[in-house]
Amino acid sequence: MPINSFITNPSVDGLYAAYRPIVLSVNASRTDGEPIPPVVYCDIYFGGVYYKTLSKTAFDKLESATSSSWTFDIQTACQEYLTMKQPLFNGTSIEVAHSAFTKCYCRFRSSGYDASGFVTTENVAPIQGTTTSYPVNGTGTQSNTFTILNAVLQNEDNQNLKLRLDEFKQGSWSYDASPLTMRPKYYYMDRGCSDYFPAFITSIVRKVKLFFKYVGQNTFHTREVNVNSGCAVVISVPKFIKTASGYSVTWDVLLGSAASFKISVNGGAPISVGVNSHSLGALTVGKYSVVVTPVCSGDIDGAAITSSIQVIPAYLNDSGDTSGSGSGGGGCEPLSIDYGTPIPNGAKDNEYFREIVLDNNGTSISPFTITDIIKPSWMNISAAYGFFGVSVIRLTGTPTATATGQQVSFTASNCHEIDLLFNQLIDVVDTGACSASITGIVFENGVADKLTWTVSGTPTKYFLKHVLPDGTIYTEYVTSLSKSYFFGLQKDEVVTIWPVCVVSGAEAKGTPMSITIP
Amino acid sequence: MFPLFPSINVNDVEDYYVQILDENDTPIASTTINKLVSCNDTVRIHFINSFGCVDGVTLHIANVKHSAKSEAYIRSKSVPVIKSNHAQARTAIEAKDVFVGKTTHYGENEMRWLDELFDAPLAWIESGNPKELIPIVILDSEREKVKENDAYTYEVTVEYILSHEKIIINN
Repeated sequence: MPINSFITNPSVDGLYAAYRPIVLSVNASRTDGEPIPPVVYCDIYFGGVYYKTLSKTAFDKLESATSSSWTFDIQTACQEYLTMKQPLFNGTSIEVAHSAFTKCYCRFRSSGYDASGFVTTENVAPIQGTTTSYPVNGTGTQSNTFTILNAVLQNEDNQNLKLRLDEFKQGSWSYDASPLTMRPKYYYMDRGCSDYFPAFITSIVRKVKLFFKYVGQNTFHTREVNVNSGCAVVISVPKFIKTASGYSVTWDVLLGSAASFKISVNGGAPISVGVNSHSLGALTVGKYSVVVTPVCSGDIDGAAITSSIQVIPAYLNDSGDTSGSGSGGGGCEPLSIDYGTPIPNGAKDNEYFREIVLDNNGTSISPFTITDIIKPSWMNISAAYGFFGVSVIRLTGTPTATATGQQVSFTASNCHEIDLLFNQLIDVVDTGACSASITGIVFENGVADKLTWTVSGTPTKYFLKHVLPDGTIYTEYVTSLSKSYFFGLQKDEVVTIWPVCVVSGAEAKGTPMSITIP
Repeated sequence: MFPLFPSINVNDVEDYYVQILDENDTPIASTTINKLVSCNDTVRIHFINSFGCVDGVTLHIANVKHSAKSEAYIRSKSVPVIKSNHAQARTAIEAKDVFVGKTTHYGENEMRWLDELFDAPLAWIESGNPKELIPIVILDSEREKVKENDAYTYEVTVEYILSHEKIIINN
């Protein structure tokens, strides 16, 4: 038993810095049982592969009549082997810095003399790799397996690397993970720049969760994406595109690399595709749900992402879209709204009603979807049609408590690649009651139909809601006591007029009156 | 990070941090809270920290100094005289820009972290359109880490030059 025991053995799965002594010492005997071998070898293995051998002919001290102690410091070999890893610039992935850490163990071999007095080594000596040959592992008495980081510990630092790293934890961390940066809790960086956050992690990552705070807000919002560590591919939410032949769905690979994708439409059997888009053909009016699953080599499924589209009939002339090809081509115009007209604050205990009219640069509105909706719980957001087929996004509901900084945001997408993003903060204020009331409405039929009304009190403006015989609703604000309609009002159209008192940007409605157009 | 969440406009975001979660939705790791600032006249320096990883810091570009030095090349006058010919010209011209970046975002407790920038063997800046990592050399310097007066304001100044020397045309 030439290597009798370990005197100093790194702890199993321990974490060590490459720039501090990494010491292993053994109790060894010569092959013939004498206490001092001529040479003791320390074969260093990184990642289970032989790297190099340290050998010594000078022992530390005699341990007994049959053994001596031998000490090796492998830090120089570790510093040679490990190097920094430059992450992908502007990357979006969790990168493994293979060159900056490694699992390590050492195998020790003792020696003796042959009959001629030459040194003979015990066990099987490993063979070092060259540019034309791979290294060949040997045998020997193996140490514990531990991890080495390409890290420095100063003399004054805690010499336990794990404890030293844990000093810099900010926020929530599991015991096994540690940051690899001394960054302060609040870290300043500019928009549009690249950043990496280095960390030592041994757990399997399933999700990436983003906490973000909009400008001027005090609360963090969250979004998360799934990461399947068996198939660590993250794809974007599939997006629907109107094409000449109907619709197609497309998505981006945000993280990792997929061998193929599976697509299921409305719960149907999955279809395998090799590219990140798929033609759905012509879709009739209705709701469609598409589930896209990235598939890694080995037929391992990644995290599936679901997206849906409500195909709705476009009013006016939708034929312009038929010339579109791919995203944003042909007659498909991006959606837009008048951002200069903010939505009003909510008035406590008053019905909220606001229509955001979508403009399509003078052309028809293509079918569109609303996603990523963030809104107060009291508010409903829905897509609807206004008068003349104008597409609107309708905000309704009744707030029952005052509040500040409530976020209203959504993404409206049509066949164009540029989405419409809406984001505004509103307050809910206690306006008190609006004491104004409509006292009479007169309808005049002429070249231009005209409504004239009288009011009690001094409201700021008037809110008119038109319900057409086919159920279509459109609304408008008027500041005078009359309104002319050159396109005419329809028979049996119901017009309701509210006086509106504006207080702190919120609209409180007074007592309305309705008229049915004869 | 934001390309993973395409519905969020980074221009509307003031602060953010990221967590990675395990299968039980338990946090494994959390980044520091990143405060996004205006990117006018700023430079982002990436550097190797003492844990062998690429760290980064954003600085305000305070100053850029250009310096050039050369030797004289003297030659005889031409015969017959060509008046436009030089008799003395510059040769072996060495030119470089020295960039000065500053930040006042960090206090006394963060000076140890910023030591890593000043002591880094390798560093890069983000530059160009589209941006790329350009290697730089942090110049040797001394700075005050702890001070008695104005102890709550630390202006950190970093000087650096581009790693690749400027190539000057010969003729």
